[in-house]
Amino acid sequence: MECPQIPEIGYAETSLGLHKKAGSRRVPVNGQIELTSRCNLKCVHCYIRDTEHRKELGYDEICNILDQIADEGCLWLCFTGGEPLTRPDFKDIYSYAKHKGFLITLFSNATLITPSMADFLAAEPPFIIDISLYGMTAETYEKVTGIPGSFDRFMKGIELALDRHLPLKFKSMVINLNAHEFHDMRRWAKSLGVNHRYDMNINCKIDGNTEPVQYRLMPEEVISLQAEDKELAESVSKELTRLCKVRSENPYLYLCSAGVHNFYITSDGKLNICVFSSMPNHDLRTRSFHEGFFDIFPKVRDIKRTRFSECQVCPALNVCGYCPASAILERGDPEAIDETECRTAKLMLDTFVNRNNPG
Amino acid sequence: MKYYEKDESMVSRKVVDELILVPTRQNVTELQCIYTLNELGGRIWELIDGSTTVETLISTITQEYAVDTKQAEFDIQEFLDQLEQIGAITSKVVNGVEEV
Repeated sequence: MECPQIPEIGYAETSLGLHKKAGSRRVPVNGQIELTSRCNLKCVHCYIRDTEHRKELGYDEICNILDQIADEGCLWLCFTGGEPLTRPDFKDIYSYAKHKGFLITLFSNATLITPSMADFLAAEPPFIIDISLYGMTAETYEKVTGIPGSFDRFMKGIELALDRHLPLKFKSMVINLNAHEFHDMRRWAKSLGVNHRYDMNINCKIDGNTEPVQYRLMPEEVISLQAEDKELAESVSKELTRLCKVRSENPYLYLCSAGVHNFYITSDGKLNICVFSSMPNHDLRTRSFHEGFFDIFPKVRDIKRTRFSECQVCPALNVCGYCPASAILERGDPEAIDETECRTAKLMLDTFVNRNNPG
Repeated sequence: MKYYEKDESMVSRKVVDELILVPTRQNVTELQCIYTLNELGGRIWELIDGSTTVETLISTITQEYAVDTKQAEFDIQEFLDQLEQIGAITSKVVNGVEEV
């Protein structure tokens, strides 16, 4: 008999072990549920479509989905939106999910974190509260969010979250309206001891509306912003060098992990392989999660490229933001190359990998 | 007689064949750890229901796993103590005084 044990396995080790096991067995360990598409901000770059006509899942429907995904082995669950805190029944949904044993990541803009909400979250903390950080001045922040007074509410929300020791992380979408405050955002996060990540790749809306694309940084700006900070440049270089060592030459359209052990559920209950893909749009109001993940998802993942693409032999493939789902949305063709993305990837490779490892 | 019951602040989850204990009131990132149970630990966890005595629990395990009772008593009590330490279970004693 092996002794009964409770090994206190480090979190990272547990996570890695479970992902490895899940990866080879198709277990939906990571999920995202869009609790609502409504938001109290109107960010210029947001990919969520204007969907007031969509019928949001109700509390009972969400609980039913949470029961199903828990039974199938989902552990990491992200509540996203819109802004999840705009739902009047947010606390009920959150409590239900906590007591199902999910490790919950909450995406929020922090502007609706009141003292009562901060106390509620502190009583049963999420795994992570991932807060969007759009600027360090009211002028810049509100140019992005489109809502006067939102910067003050954001700062108050952060103050409350820090006071309650909530597990905060920041993420910034860096666009041409806030790029000049990029380094200030990083410094502020560091001064608070809060992890900060960023994304400079702006997609169009998920209904194909290309309005957000006008806020995208040019490839040269993406490079110079990261290169001008020595510490950041070193970490980018290290990460890209690591990525370049992984080769994934295969004939399939989707090279990422979408739909393998990840899934995305829209606010009206459609199950897709990721946020930008409307495949397979499996309706969880009438059909089971099990059927969607185990019977339908593999058919999406099995889709192969129909023609040769230079991407297949491109050395910058693994540092490139090319995504078949967003290529469908922007250009109507999952195999179409985004020239700006392509140029950015090649410049990134040249600046952060090749110059450090000549030859 | 001594019983154990599960604390409602600790939720067990079966994920990719692993039985994991997830604390709801503590911050997992602060804890920097997750509790996982091996097969036998998982079976004992299943048997803890607030009404099964420790004696019955030991007897069930020794029958199912064909092990020496003395060794099982020691290992199982040590495991129960660990579960109690992390706040996963609480003990109660009926018709007697709990031994320290």
